[in-house]
Amino acid sequence: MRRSDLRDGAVLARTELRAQIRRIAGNRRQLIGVVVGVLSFGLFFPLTFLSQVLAFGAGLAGGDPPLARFGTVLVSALTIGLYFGAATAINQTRVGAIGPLVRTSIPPEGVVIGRVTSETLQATAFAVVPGVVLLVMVAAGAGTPLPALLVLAASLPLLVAGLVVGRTIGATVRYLGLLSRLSAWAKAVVLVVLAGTVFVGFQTAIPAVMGDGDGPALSALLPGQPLQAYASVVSAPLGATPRPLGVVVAAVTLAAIPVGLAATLRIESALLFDDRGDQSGDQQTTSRSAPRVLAATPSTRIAWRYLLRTRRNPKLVSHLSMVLFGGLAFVGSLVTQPDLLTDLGPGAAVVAGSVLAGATFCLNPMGDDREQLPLLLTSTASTRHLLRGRVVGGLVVGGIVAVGVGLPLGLVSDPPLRVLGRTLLTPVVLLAAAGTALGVGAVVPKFERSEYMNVERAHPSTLGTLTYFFGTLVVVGVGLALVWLSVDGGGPLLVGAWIVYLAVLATTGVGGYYYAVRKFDRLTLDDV
Amino acid sequence: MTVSPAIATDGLSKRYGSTTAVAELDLTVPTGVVYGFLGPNGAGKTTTMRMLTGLVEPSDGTATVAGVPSDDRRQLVDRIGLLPEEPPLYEELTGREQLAFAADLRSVPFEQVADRALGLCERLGLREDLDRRVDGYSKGMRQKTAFVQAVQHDPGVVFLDEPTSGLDPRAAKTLRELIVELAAEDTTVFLSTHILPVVEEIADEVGVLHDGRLVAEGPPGELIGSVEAEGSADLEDAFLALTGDASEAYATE
Repeated sequence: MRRSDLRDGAVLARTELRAQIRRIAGNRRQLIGVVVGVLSFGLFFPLTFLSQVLAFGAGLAGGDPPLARFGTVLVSALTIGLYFGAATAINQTRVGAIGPLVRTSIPPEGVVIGRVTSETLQATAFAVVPGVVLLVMVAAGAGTPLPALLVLAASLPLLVAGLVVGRTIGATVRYLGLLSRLSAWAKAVVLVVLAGTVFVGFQTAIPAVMGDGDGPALSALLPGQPLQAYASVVSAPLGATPRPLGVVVAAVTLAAIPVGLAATLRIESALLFDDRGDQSGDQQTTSRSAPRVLAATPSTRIAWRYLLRTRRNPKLVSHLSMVLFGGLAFVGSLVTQPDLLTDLGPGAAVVAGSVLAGATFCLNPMGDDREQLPLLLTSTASTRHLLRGRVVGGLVVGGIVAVGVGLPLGLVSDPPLRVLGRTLLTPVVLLAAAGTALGVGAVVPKFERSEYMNVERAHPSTLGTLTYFFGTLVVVGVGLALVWLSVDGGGPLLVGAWIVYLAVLATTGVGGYYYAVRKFDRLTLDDV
Repeated sequence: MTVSPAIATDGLSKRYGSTTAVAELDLTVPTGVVYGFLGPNGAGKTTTMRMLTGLVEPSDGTATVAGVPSDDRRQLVDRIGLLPEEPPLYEELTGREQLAFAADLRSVPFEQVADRALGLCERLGLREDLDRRVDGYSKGMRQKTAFVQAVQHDPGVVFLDEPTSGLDPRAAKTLRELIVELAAEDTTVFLSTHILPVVEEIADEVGVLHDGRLVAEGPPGELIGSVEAEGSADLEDAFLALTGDASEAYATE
């Protein structure tokens, strides 16, 4: 590494940070998000641990530092570092604000130094406020600042080492992904399998480790013991007895930083000039016309093309990863409670199908098509064909899950009448969900591109998406409960409940659809 | 009998905050002509096209395109076609699927426009690439696809923003021929470009926009003649004389 690389890297990092600050400051929505995030995460989150942190501070100052708890603090610092290091390395869609210019203007080592610095600072900036608050709480508990300073001195090298090693791991994963020449769908499957393994692993490992007192302790799985030894070295001034293992851990931690940096520099420099690009696109595709079932109207043919595009590029639905992780949590629970598959499976499939019916294509209907707006707005007398196409596309995806998975499971586990009731409810909730999602997308449309799950596009609003997810979960859950109760017996109260329920579905579903048509029919590029 | 103009504007203006992009534009474009719309970078050409196609709302004034107000999107879309500066195509679709999608947006089955669309593709040398995905297209192929997309439904008025951008000389020549043929079929072509020899060759009328204002309008020969006394010989010299400052970020290709 040459001094000029460091200088170039510093210039690049400064430029990117300045650009990012200006971007946030110039966008009221982002600015509010940052302020709310800093307040909620920076101030309120640490306060939830107030009593434990005060006790920890008091313990540190008490002459016999609580090494087990100190070890947990250090594990957290290391984990945070590893996570953000890896995440920043993997999320590399946008090569900086001035990508191509940078690539051809300064040496690759300078680019990597600049980007690592800029991205690491951006990713960890959020940790500064809660970190300071937590340290102040430690000092308050101890009654003296020394323990807080020692906690900082112990955590900082671990955090930095975690960031560097995480970055190396992330860059390696990215490089392996490039070498593998896997399609985007294959990569998505690998991601799902990996995430599923982690979920299932946790679901099985935690009870096994924590369940009875006879098994191994959780700290035997995590790096708790070595880090407790490390804590004993750092807290020697407070009365702890230093363990030799702690010195080794400190040496390894400090050594990991330059070694990791050198490895990252090498891998990412190679990645910058790798011309293999994204192998996800099979460009030798043959044109496909809509299958008969979707060839009837312009809207269904538009739906077919949304499905086709998604089939060819799964990144278009990267925002659905939230649904995926929710589903994985359910799959994880099945490991410990297999009965859930038949008890909750059919209903869960209807819920998941309903969520997908709206979330797949309807949560940001015009933002998704930002680059094509000049075509869409000068070709459609009304956006309703386009929006109906999105609804139909979503219904196909949601229907496959709700009916394709839910019905067979129901036939195995439920009485026929309940299966019939759920089957009748399914298309109603799916349609209502899709219409509602359009309404949500019209209330909070997003036209700015951003990065999420390594995909840079105009993703749906996070707030809108979460509102839709949880709202659908509750509303469909209520519908399933009504079906359950209706099968077991009726009554005027139940009839009233159904009337209210269907009125709510109609209001949100049909209302959402018409609101979206009305709003997007008036959309101009001035609004974007 | 008087034939109503294809495009008519009355005091058309667009302001962004304190910046005036287009100021009181009075434009009359007859039906079935190629109208060259010229101006230095930032003169307001794209904003004008956007107002005429209903993509942005005017701050003041009115515009009528193909006999309907430009803010009446419901009626306007059947009568216009637009090729914007950035071809609006979906990367994951093939060229053929993209053209079919554009037809469906207008609620027209692709079969109805396929003969015309495929004929245009043939002329532009795109036919053999129609079953390849757009993300594998060159800039010129994207431009050709977007052009066919803009005219396949046989609109009355076509707006073309730098249509020959990225095209090789042969394709650019074919495109110029197609534009002239469109006008001969009574389609009005509103052509915005910086390539002045193209405008000089194919435009029937020219409008020059400078700082958001129309500074000259008329047939190319008339415009050239109006500044000939100062020694100008072609449209480029006339353009430079009319827009005042040759150092504007204008470049011939």
